[in-house]
Amino acid sequence: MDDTDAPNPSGPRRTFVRAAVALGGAGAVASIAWPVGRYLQPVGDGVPEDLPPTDVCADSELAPGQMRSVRVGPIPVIVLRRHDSSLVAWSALCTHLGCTVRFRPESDDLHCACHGAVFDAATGTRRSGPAPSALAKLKIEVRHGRIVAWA
Amino acid sequence: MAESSPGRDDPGWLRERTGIGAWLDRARKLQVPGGIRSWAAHVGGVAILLLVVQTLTGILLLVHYRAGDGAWASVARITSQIPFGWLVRGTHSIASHLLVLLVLAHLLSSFASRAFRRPRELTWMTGVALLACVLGLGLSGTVLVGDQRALFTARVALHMTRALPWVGSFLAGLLGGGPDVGTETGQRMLAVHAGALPLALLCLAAMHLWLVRTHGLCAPARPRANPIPWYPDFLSREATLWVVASILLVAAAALWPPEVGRSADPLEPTPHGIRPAWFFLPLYQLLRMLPPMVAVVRGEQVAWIAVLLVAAGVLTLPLWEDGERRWAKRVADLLAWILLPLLLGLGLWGWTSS
Repeated sequence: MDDTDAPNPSGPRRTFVRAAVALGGAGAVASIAWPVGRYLQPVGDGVPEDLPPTDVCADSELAPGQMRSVRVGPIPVIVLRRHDSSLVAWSALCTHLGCTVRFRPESDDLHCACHGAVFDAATGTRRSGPAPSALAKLKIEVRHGRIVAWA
Repeated sequence: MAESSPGRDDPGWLRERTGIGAWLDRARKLQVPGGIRSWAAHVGGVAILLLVVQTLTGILLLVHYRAGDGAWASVARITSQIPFGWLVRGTHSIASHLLVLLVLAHLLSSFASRAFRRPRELTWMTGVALLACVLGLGLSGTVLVGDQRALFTARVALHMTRALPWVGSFLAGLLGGGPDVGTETGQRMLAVHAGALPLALLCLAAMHLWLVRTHGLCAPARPRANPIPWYPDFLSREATLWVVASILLVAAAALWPPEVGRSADPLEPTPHGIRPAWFFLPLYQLLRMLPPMVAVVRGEQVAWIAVLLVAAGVLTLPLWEDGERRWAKRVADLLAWILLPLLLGLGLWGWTSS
């Protein structure tokens, strides 16, 4: 029997064929995975860096202690008139897991019904619950008698 | 001449062409271990029936369902206008809860009887993967309804996905289709709920059944009787249960027709008392209780660690509790006795919390 033709699991030819098959297989997988991955990329709009100035209501419509809900870009925003007549605007998206917070005038806070996070209405900071950070603050001012919020 | 070429009315026609005869003969000779008289042996079979029900009602719902912005309106239309739409949706909804319940019960009874031990390790593992599929279907199905609960379920699920280190943002983008829950999310959830997960479930269920068929049903530790024939004894009991389960299912769907919550409005605050489906209540309560940070790890990530630890422990159970070592059996029992009351307690707490 000719020794050179005997199967040799560690022979250079076997190694070469294995490497070629592995490389080819990896190439085949990649040539499918890459287009599929690109195809599945998120196509929805990102949250823009600058949210456009959005009309909330007339300055005279919002009495102290009252609130308005408004969408600024894609973000739900809560606009509050404090008892000292100052205005403040918070993103209503809870910083915990993204539910929408509710203003509670009786306790002067913002409460998330999903997992019980509570935020201070004046400063936006966390009072209690699982939220990791304060609510995002939006810019707000009165232009020609109308309240405008943006970020 | 007629003898050499059998006609289509010949009963052997199909046997000759499909080989179904040998298969039927094998099924007829199949034996089930004696002592399997308890209803627990049929839980898996009823779960299979529910899978069939879910596939059929799911296809029917797909006819009138619209993903994306029209989702809520289409679900409302199915529920209140399409003839028998309430029944199709009600059956699909109740069967989904029942399916999770049965898969959990099946897993628990397999644990209690140590049916996962050699050679049935892979049967157990495919069963655990099936549970994951069923939970994923429950979650994506909730999102498809398009009401307020759907919106906030999707928000929480996507934010939780994003909290995963390294792969979180990528996965959340993949599943949500955008930075926030929107039209893209509904469409992708439909692809997951009606495409990817059912296919995965079908493959896993086929593997599971193949393994059950290969190893047979697990005999009780102390067989009390001689083996009984699968056909007709075992099968007739199973068929009886299928009929009873079908009747109960339709009756339940008729008695408790599904509701349509208020349409999702991103401007409105999350409604008070909102809760996930019962099988996510332990996780929900855990998320409520965890502080923002535990040492250097965020609360949501601690919840992930807990979920992944439990999943890994349950999945790999047959690899370390193989019946060879006494301590392994004790550890498995101890973990079960800690974990079950804990999950039940967290769930009840989550159910009653406001």
